[in-house]
Amino acid sequence: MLMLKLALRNLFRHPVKTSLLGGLIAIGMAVLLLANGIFDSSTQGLEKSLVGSLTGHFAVSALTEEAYGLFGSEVPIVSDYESIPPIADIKTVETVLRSQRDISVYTPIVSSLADVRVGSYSNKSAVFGVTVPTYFQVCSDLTVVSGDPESLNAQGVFLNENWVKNAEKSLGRKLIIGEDVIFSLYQNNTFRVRRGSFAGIYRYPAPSEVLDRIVLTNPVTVRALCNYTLGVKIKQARPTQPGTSQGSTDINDLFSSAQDVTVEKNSGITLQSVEKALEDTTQRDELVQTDSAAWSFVLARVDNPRLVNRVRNSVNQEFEKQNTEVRVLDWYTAAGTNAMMLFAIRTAFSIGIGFVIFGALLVIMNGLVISVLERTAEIGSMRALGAPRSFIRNLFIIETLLLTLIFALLGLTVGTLGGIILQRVGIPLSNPLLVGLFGGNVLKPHITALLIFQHLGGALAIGFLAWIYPVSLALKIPPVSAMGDHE
Amino acid sequence: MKNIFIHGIRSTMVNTKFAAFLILPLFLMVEPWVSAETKTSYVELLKQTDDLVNFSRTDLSAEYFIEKRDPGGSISDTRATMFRRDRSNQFLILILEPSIDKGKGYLKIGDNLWLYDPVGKTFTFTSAKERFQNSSARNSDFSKSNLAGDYKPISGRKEKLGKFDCVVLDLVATNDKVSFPKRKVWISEDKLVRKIEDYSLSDQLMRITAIPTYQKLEDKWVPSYMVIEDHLRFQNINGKIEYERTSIRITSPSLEPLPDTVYTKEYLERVAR
Repeated sequence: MLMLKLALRNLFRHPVKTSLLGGLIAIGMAVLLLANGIFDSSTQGLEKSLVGSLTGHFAVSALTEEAYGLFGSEVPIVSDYESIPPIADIKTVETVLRSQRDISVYTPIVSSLADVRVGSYSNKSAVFGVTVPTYFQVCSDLTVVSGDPESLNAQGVFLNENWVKNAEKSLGRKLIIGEDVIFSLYQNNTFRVRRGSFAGIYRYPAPSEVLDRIVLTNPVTVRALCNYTLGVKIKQARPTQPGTSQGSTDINDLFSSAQDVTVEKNSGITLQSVEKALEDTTQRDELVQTDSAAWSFVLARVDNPRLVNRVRNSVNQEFEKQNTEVRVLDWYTAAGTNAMMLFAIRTAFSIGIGFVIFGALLVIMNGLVISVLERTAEIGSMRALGAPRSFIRNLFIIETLLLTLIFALLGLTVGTLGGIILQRVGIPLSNPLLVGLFGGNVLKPHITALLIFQHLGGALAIGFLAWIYPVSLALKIPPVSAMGDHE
Repeated sequence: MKNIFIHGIRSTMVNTKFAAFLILPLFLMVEPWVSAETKTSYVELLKQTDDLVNFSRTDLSAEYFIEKRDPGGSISDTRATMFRRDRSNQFLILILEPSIDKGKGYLKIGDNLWLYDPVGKTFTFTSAKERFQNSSARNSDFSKSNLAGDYKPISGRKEKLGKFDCVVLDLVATNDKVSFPKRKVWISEDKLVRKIEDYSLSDQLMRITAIPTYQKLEDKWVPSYMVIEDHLRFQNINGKIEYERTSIRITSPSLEPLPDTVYTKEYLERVAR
């Protein structure tokens, strides 16, 4: 009790110094609480925007040397688009997923990039061939704005709200239900064009540039686009070509012995011969048949989000046991480079904030150290009057803890009030990168009791440690010398 | 300009410094290397070259064998038929092989190039500047030649190309509809284009086209064999740069007149089942 009174008296005896130091602690705590509140909400926002509307809790894909996310190859090389390899043994994958009781629902999808055109407006989009209703059960955060999702099974096409907005702005008119949506993909020396009909609009809870590119349709259309066909498996004969091809000859060498020729007028090709050649399409029709068991990914949703890691590991072990050539992707890997880039930027951002916080803590600790060192004479006087070292030490512990506790509480109160205000008002974001980074276009900190207690604990820990060095230094100086310094 | 230059020389004093002082600004007023008369003759040469390979009075049909060789060796082949009507700037290309692509068509009507997929029974359209079947050839390569209309010559020189004595012309585009803003063309004495180097605006070499042989059909010429080397797609194979190369053999050319309906979307839908 005496020590507490002494500690309080010492704090109030130097009001300016106490206020300055305490103010630093209060401001630091308030800012730290708000920053962590914002980051917590952005983590939840990012996860919500992707898990609930794009990837599910985890995804299963084919096992390949190259990494593929939902949007295709993750290898950052500018080259032709490579189709995502289909899962080889979909039956085993579905059996394993069904056997996991913690998985509430799963859905297979086919994914391809394509040029999607409505009227004269076109956009390079990610096209997902989905099954209804399981896709909307896994991606339960999607909101159907208009149209019946069942129409996806009948060549219907669902466009997301921002895609529609951009198209209507470009076309200068509203899109009409039933109008043609043309998909085309140029790949591997050829092109494929398919048609669907506009059937509805859906919305993402946290739209971003990544999600705005997605178009939903039926799996058959997307399989045809990305060539999940029998033609891929059957080796075709090369066309018979007249003459020999010039392999690695220097191009200028072609002119050394070139000889022009004259052709007879009536020896050429005729329209009738071409039309006849095009009559028989039996082989082509066989080759273009789509493989109804070919899927790019299976997305899964877990009942209890806390069990995601456990379920994912269990599924992975089961696949390994059965030698199934698949890869189990967590949600941010499935979301691909775009999401991982956002994560990387966020991590860099967090590290930056961490450095700033560390610097602020050093400043606060420095302030505490200086305040102890300035009282060397006082310490000397107390020791000269007979106070033992333990008394001095305990006195400073209590003083520092009191200072830290009072002003930390003040700072946390201010931070919490600020958080409540920002929760109601929100900080609007318009920059697409920031929207994706923070998982939404309005920033709202998420401050919980746990977060407040964590910050209070941190402040007390710092307060408990801050006195050690300077007090031990002060105690080493003989009392006479200490008192003499003061004079 | 040439006459002023010569007159300026004759009327100056012998002093070379004074002569240089007089000559230099005159020299700078004139575009380097090329006189107006020479430019005019180059334009005429381009017109003659275009005229030899364009078919303004009739249709042209031919069979095309296109072999695309990727750096590193993978080969893909296409057999197609082309019908071309230069007087209305239209063409129709029908893919015959490989089997999986049978019936696919490219139809040029005006400035639009329509692509038809018979399996999806759907048209889409693209630009003539895009690649044909993702090869080194551009869709615009199948249109009639219009070097004189699309380009202007800025310089020329003589050069030997294999067994051919050629005039090499440096050309710059006069519109933005063309695939390449700058070109160098080698024209042999028989006024046929033998080699073309295509450049970007920043003078990066993008493509080389070699046409070593032609076939004469009445009084016109059709390339018989072409090789196109894409300098934007390459790999280093055992220390040597290998470019993507597309070889095109054109056979069975015919000048048989074709019905107008051939150059319509309806015809393409009907014939490409």
